Amino acid sequence: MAAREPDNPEILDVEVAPDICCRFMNCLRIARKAFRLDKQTGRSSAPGWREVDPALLWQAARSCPTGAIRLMTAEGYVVPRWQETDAWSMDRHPAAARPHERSREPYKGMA
Amino acid sequence: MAVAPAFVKGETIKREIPPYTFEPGDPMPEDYRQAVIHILTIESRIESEYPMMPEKTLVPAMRMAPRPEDWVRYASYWAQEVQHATYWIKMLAELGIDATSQEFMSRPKPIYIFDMRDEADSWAEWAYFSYFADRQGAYMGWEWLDSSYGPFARIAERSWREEEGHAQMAHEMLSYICSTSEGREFAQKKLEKWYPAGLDMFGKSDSTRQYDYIRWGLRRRTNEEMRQAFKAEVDALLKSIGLEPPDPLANRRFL
Repeated sequence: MAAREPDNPEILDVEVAPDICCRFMNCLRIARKAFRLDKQTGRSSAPGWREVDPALLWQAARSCPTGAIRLMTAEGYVVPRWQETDAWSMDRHPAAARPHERSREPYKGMA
Repeated sequence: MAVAPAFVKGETIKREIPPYTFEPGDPMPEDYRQAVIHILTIESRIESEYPMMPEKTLVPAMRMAPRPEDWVRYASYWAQEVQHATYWIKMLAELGIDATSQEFMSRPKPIYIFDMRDEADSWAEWAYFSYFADRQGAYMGWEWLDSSYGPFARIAERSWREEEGHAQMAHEMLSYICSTSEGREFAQKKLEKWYPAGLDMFGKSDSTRQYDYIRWGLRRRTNEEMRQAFKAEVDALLKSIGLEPPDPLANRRFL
């Protein structure tokens, strides 16, 4: 079973699949210190992933339109973009209503 | 060159409703509720066309995309917009409105640049659609940070960042087109058509509703304030790939 963010698994490595990085650059905007764009290839990589909050890495990976960002965690290998899509639920996405005491809790995925 | 109008800054308007005040099931002032519904209706009417009308939002673009990498990029964008559509559908459902009904989707589109997309005749026009419409979507997402309506506040950052990514895609598309002199000349010609529609997306500068929205914590900036920030960003990007922004007041419908 793949890792899930709510389990808070330790991230061991972050990989950007170069063949499907299409330069949307969401990763650079969401987790600025983690990702870097190679000016020669136009592809992103994650040399600074240890310097940022892991929650930002999950969010960057979920928001990568092509699913190019993969996380290696202590619980397994996961592509958050497709993990979330696979478990997509109208009742659990961040825009769905919540009780007031949970209204400000950060979104942690649907898987 | 015509002069752009002066504008009121949102920060000068006192906010009355704090962040995360309302969830959908709460009693709320009727004017406030109608304002939330109005915003959601615009978002949903536009973005539900991604899942519900792929013949308009996916098929024509895939046929015009010049390279296989553009297929991958556009299809990935489209899939993310499908997810966005579910946000607005869910948010309206929680306010008692079925945004998937034929009646809802038969309404005219609230922003005319979306009708222009349906008539786009080239990859350059598809690029301009996202260049302006998705970038405007990013601006709206930013407006909802710390919104008084909980669902907007929770979706704001994600919507903002992902729509920025879509605008970046458009810049990639346009950069490719402008990599030849013929392509740049074609793109410059098309820009005259799309630029005013892009600036018109922010509505009238003297709309009274915008001030209520800021007071109620549903917006942060005024229409003209957003338009001027948008124009500055777009102009710099266009110039970076050799295009010249047109007169900002030419062919405009809303000032």
